[in-house]
Amino acid sequence: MSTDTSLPVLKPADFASDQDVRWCPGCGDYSILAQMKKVLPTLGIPREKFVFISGIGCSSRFPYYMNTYGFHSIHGRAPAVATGVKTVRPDLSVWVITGDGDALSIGGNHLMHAIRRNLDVNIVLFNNRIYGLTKGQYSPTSPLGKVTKSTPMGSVDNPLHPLSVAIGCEATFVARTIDVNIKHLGSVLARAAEHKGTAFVEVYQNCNIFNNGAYDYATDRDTKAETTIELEHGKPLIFGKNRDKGIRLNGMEPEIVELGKGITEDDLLFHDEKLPEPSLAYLLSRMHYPQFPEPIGVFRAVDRPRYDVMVNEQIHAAIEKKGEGQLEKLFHAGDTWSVDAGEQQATELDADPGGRTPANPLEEAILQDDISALSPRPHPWVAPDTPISQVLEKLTESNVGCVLVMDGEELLGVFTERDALMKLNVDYAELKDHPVSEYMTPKPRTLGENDKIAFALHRMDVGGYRHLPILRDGKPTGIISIRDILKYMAQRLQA
Amino acid sequence: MPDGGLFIPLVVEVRRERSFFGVPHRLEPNLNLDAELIAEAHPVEPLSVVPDTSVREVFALMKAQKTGSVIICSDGKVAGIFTERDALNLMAQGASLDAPISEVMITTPATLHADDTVGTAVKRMSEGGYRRLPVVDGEGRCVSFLKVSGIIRYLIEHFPQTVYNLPPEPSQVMQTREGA
Repeated sequence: MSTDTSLPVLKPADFASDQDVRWCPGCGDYSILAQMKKVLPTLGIPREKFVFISGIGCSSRFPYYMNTYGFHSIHGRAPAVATGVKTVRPDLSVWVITGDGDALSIGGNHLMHAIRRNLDVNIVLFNNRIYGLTKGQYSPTSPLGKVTKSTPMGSVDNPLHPLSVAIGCEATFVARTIDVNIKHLGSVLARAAEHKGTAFVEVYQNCNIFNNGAYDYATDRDTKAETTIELEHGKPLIFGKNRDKGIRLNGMEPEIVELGKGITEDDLLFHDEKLPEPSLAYLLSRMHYPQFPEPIGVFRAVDRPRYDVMVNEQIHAAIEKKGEGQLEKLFHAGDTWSVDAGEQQATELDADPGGRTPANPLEEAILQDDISALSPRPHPWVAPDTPISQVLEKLTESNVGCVLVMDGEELLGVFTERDALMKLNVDYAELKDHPVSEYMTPKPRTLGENDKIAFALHRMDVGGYRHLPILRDGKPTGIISIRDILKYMAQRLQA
Repeated sequence: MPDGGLFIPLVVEVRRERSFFGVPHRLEPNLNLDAELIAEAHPVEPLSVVPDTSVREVFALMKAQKTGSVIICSDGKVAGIFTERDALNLMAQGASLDAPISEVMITTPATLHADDTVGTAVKRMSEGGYRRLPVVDGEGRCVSFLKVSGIIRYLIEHFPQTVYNLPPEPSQVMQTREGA
């Protein structure tokens, strides 16, 4: 088997920046960030070709947290900056990260024009239906009657529906997904990345501080099958826990029907994301809970000429005719000045993991119990220059799946049975004298023994890790495995 | 909290004889381990080989498919299982890779049935210390593969915000007030 070694294989961790992520604990933004880091390595695009551009708001801190190029720009103007970047550098994968206020209120004007031009960028709108950063005023997507700090008697503003706006601007790609529906979120982001032209994605995102539970109807495991409907190209619109309900067109109006009783799948509305006219997509974007299940997935994906391509064709034609222009002259025209930075005030924010009332005892337990409750077992360790053969012996003798690689008191990496199979494989006999440092997984993610078990679940499910080294005062005291987690949860379920 | 009871009566009737660890569990209605089938816990496609496949081929296949286990099937029925743990033991012994997999596989592995509940799967896995179990149909054919990670995800799906929306580092103290 031959492998193309010309491009380095990227992993989600390669897209993590060195910045502390400063969203409130429990914010839906975390989930979107994690999925973005997972999707980007699958696109076959080098890391230096990605640019994340944002405006102002909680979501707009996104570029700091991606180890790519980025620009935290001015309020509502991310689409304008993105237009410039993409037009000058059509080879870049350009992402606009915005929120309901930034995109639809302050920047409504810019958004509309980026979309109608069909610039080849991906716009991801985190819709939490509130102003989070400014602490809880109503946003352009807050529902009628919503009581907030700035609408004490309830909002009287008819809300905007982001997808209806995008379709009104004739967006060529329109999709909706949900922060905690991580598989769906990942697949929608991947589809958006593949689309040539403006890809507009609305993500239902929970603000657990100022608008907690806004999307509970669509995320609750017991109700989501009834309150959302997953769109699939060429398939009928069917929903419900038992997949026994569907959407039928009655003239120009959608209606909910029950399958059986003389109604078959053929009577239902079939989704077609390729329709040249945006009418069906618009109709779907008007389906709202509680009257209808809310569609998630790709509403529309069509091809149309792109702004960035056409402008560059014009520029090439102009240069051929008139020669290069002189931008330097323009840059140095007019006044320049600088502003002194004021002194920053130090504050300490409270951490409040979860931010919502636990739904059941298991959830309560993982938020309250420390990782020490899993009794991390002291694990064997080896020095970085230990030969592979001795490490394999240690793994089998101690009957564990993972050893720590330690240089004195410093944790350098871990070596697991998965590493043995994936990295040594059929060549193990030739590699047995090599030092373990060549094949270990370096700089493993760790947790402290006083961290909550919920964090271990997060690492294992989102990060895909099966072993986590546990630290006390920064020094490893043991390892927990996914089996320890299962055992813990099984005991809680039994109690 | 929306009413979680809409699908309980149907399933409880069918599976009344089963209860988790022999006692009816007392959790909130939205955790129905005794009622929901393992299809809910994200089973995956099994990777299967025939018994005379060489260990060398199986190693290469596991690496190529990035998977930690294979099912060995004979005449369509499960004959054994071979996991990365077994691979590790072979490597540690310096064993030959040319033997057929049937000589080194674990025969008559623990299995689950497609109509088993999530509760049964949790019990079998946690008691037996298994990280993955083949799921067989009535005729002993392997139809899917249930992994502990699938069960963990199933449980998390009952409270996704609590887990998926956690910050990447648990104890983070802001030194400065944030700008926009």
